[in-house]
Amino acid sequence: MANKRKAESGTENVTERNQFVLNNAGGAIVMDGNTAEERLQISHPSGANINLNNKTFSMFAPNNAQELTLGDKFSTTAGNSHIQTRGGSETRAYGDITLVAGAEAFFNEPVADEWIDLNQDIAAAKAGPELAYGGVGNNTDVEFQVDGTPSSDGTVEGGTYNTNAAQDNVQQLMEEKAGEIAEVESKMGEGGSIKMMSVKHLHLQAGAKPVSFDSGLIVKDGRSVTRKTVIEDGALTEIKTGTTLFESKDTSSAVPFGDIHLAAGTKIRGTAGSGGIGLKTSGQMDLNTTGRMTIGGAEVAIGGSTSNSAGTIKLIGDVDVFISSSDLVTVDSANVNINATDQVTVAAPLTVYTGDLHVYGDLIVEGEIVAMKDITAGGRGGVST
Amino acid sequence: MSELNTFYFGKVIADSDMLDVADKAPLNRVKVYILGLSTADEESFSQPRGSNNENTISQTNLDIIGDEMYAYVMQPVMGTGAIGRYNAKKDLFSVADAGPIENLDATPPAEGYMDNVYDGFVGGQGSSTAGVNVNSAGFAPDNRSNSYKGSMAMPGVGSTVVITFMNGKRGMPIIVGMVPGQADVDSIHGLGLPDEVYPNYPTFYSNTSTEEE
Repeated sequence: MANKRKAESGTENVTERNQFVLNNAGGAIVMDGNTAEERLQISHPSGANINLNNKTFSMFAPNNAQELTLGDKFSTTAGNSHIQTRGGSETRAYGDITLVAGAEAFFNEPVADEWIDLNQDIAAAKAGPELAYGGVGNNTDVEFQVDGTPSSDGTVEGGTYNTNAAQDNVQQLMEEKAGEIAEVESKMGEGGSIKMMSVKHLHLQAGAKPVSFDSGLIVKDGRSVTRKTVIEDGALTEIKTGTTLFESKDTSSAVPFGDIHLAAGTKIRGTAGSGGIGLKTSGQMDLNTTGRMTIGGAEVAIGGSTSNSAGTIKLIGDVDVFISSSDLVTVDSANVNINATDQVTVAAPLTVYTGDLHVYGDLIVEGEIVAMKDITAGGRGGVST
Repeated sequence: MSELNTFYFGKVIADSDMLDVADKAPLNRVKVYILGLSTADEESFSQPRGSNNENTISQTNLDIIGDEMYAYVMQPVMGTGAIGRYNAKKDLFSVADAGPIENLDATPPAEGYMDNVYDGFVGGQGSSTAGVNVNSAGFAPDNRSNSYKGSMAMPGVGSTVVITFMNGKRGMPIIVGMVPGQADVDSIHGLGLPDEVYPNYPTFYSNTSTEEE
């Protein structure tokens, strides 16, 4: 027996062809055994179909598609995963939702620790001064070497110092470490970030309701402070008054909902347009840094106020509180107290007191005393000249 | 009664009825070597064809069978087994499966998805992920509406079949089914072990009431 039909194409002699069809008005199951085009496809007259072939496993639903799993569900994609929704999208979990991005090595190996260790010396070299005038690292408490002499008043400013060798060799240090750092970074893999983007608004909310428990106790006259100092019968007398004592209370740390925790290993950068940024809380707000904090704006207003007019403001610095303006500084209050254990210096071409000036100690004048009226000795009603 | 009015084992030696230039249209038929009937010479082979087989059918018998008629392949009944449907009240017959039977040219919705159905990752969509799916158009159904209803398949070369003859006539052989052999059963139920086991083959549960002595 020989096949007496000649194939139109030579490939037909190496292409096996066979097909098994189960067909009904309700749909068709087709299994192709054609060489390199093996296929199993289940199709419905609506167009819905499941297609398993050498290139892909595809499912098509011309109408709705639905899925119900009463147990657990697992989905693993070895490559990239893309999900597109042309209408709205809702993902609702009655339990937790966890989103994690990052190479497996981050979870199984100490790659972050390795990277920090390798970069520690570079960071220390960068943090040091260009000239060896010392200083202490604000986070590590590392004391940098001093190689030079301070100015005559004991300050670095105006002093003479040699170049800090460590700072000078940062580039060389980076080159020496580059190989090891690249090796660790390769273990970190590609990607590893979570990007969230909305063309309109982004709303983050934690907790079904806001909690406004009292977070502090305002005691309006809780602390005794000096209101003013007067001189009576030749003696100084402090006049006391009460000021607000604020006691912070923890009433919300155990609330089982409503917390948002942001933790950035390196930095948080936030920018907003002309709508501005508003941060408001009914609890305590702390803005702290071990580095420098800058608060700036066209107008900066710092206020302390409560509903019962008991607000207070405290400015405290370990060494120095410096207030500067190119034109005007105003301190406006019924009473102003300046307490100096050494000296108060007013450096001005002219100092004007609009009321009386009562000096408890001696009044020593290096220049002239010009009196528009009498100078009286011996107290009021005494001898005048 | 003719001796052809019984069943025979057979081996498929050609799985097509388009072997000759005279064969104009396929009718789902094959060529079969029928044990004890096809030739006078006895054959002993597991697979009839293939130079890599130790025993195959002889060229003489192959040529004899080549001149025999093709054998039809009986298919199982799977619901309506015809192209079309009939409504007695309206006395209408239509090959169209979709819509009212008066609409003789109706096509099912599936026809609307034969072309130009893409997912959201086809190229040219303007998004950052456009074009990432090279199989983005692979959603067309294999719609067989308005076609023959039932199963359509042919046994392959080497298949062991049961064959008989319509009306006892040698010119109308018809295969009524396939019979799996030991190698076929092993390939499905065995694990390929030297001392073979059959974990999914029914044995004790439905057949043994007492422990073996």
